[in-house]
Amino acid sequence: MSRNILVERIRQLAAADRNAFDVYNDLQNQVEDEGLALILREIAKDEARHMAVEKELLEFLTQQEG
Amino acid sequence: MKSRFLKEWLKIAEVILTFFIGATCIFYLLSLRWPLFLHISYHFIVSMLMIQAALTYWYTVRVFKREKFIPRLTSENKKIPRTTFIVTAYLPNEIEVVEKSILNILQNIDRPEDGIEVILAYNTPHMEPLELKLRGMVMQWPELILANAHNSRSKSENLNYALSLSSGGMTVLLDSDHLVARDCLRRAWRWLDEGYDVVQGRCKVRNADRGFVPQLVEVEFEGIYGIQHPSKSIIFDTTLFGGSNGYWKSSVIRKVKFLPQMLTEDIDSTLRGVLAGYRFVHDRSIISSELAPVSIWGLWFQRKRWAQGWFQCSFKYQSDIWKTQYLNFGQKFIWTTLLLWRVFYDVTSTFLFPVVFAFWLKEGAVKFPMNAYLGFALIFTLVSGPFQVIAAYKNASQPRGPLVRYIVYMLFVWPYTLFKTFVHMVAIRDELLGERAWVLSRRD
Repeated sequence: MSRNILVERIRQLAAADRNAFDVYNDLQNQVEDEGLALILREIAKDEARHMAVEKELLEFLTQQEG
Repeated sequence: MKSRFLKEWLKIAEVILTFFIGATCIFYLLSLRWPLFLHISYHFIVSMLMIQAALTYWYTVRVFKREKFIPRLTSENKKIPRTTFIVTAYLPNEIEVVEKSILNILQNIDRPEDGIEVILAYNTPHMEPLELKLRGMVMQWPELILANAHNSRSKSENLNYALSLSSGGMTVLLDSDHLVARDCLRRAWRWLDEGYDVVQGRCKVRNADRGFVPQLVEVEFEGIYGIQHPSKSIIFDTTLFGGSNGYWKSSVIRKVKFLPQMLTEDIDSTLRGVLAGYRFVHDRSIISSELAPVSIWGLWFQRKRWAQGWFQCSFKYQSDIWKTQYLNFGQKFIWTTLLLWRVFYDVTSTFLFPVVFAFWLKEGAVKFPMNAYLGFALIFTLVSGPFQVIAAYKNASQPRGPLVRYIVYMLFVWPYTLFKTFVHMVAIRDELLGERAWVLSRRD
């Protein structure tokens, strides 16, 4: 796989994770069940972690390109 | 659906009652008290029609000849940066058209060295089978990004969301039905490289063979994008972003963004951009084709939203336009004709009919008062529309529609203008009564 395609794929995943983060974040505020809200909060945090790592990875790959 | 049309008919009845029957009674009563009142009103309205016609001649003559792009000394000759295409769609309704538009970008556009990305901005919670189809496209095209703007309720929010994901140095904004030309990025970048912040390209109707309404809109668009917008850009060095086929410096659009509460977020963002000192230019050689409404009701609802949005912007920004330091006198003049004058002209010109009806009531007979001035005004005004159509035909984008469509438009230009003025009246009524629900333009 070429580096360009890898970068584009990670961009796609970063956007998908951002979409998912927004949805989970909204859902955890909507549900009334405390246990469920806790699980959704954990998933939202997980998505946020993915986003952070993807950002670092993108910076690393684009710096290497430069 | 039926109740929506019934509601519109009731609004039309209200406007007829107020602007035509009510106004006729008022003009008649005033003429009984002051006999000269009708005479003065009639000449005033005719003079306004003449001013508007004179503007039409001016714009048309100025762009009658094609002009080639000449690079200015301010050009930095930088290479085209990585470009983000943002395509907004109302899914699931527009899936067929949007798929075609996205594939056109991914397969046909001349790419800059640093590549492109295509962000599909949408919002819908119920589209499982469609999302599978879109994910299939994403796997095939690594440059395609799906941006489902969760909880968004407007195109503006979808756009803002997509902007937050974008990584390009130039951003192209497109509606779901737009098929942009292969060379659009090269042509647009020339202007941004020269120092402009936004380039608006030309929009062309591609479904004119679908009936009478799209045929009218096809010729109308050749006039709007081939004459009116470029002439403003050439004469006054300002123009507007029309919502699609617009090329922005990404740093600028990220600052300007879009306001969800405005009915025409494109005009609103243009005005906020102009007031912040950003420069807009129109290039009629950057072509994108789109689908016009095919039914009269489709056209009605589309134009009503545009008219109401312009009306909102007219009152929100007119005084700021007069005060800003970023516009010169000519630019303030042209923006005034687009904002306050547009409202004042359409409302006042509507009173031509009540004035004539009141005159007939007063005289007790159907008479057309005529003198040399009125005769000249009549010819001067009536010829302005067909004159612009001739220029539009001459400068039409390729492939040009058949001549017969332009002749038909010439014959219908006055009824069509009256139709649009009437739509404007209903839009003003809606805005004044706080009715801001709008109907999605169908793209089939």
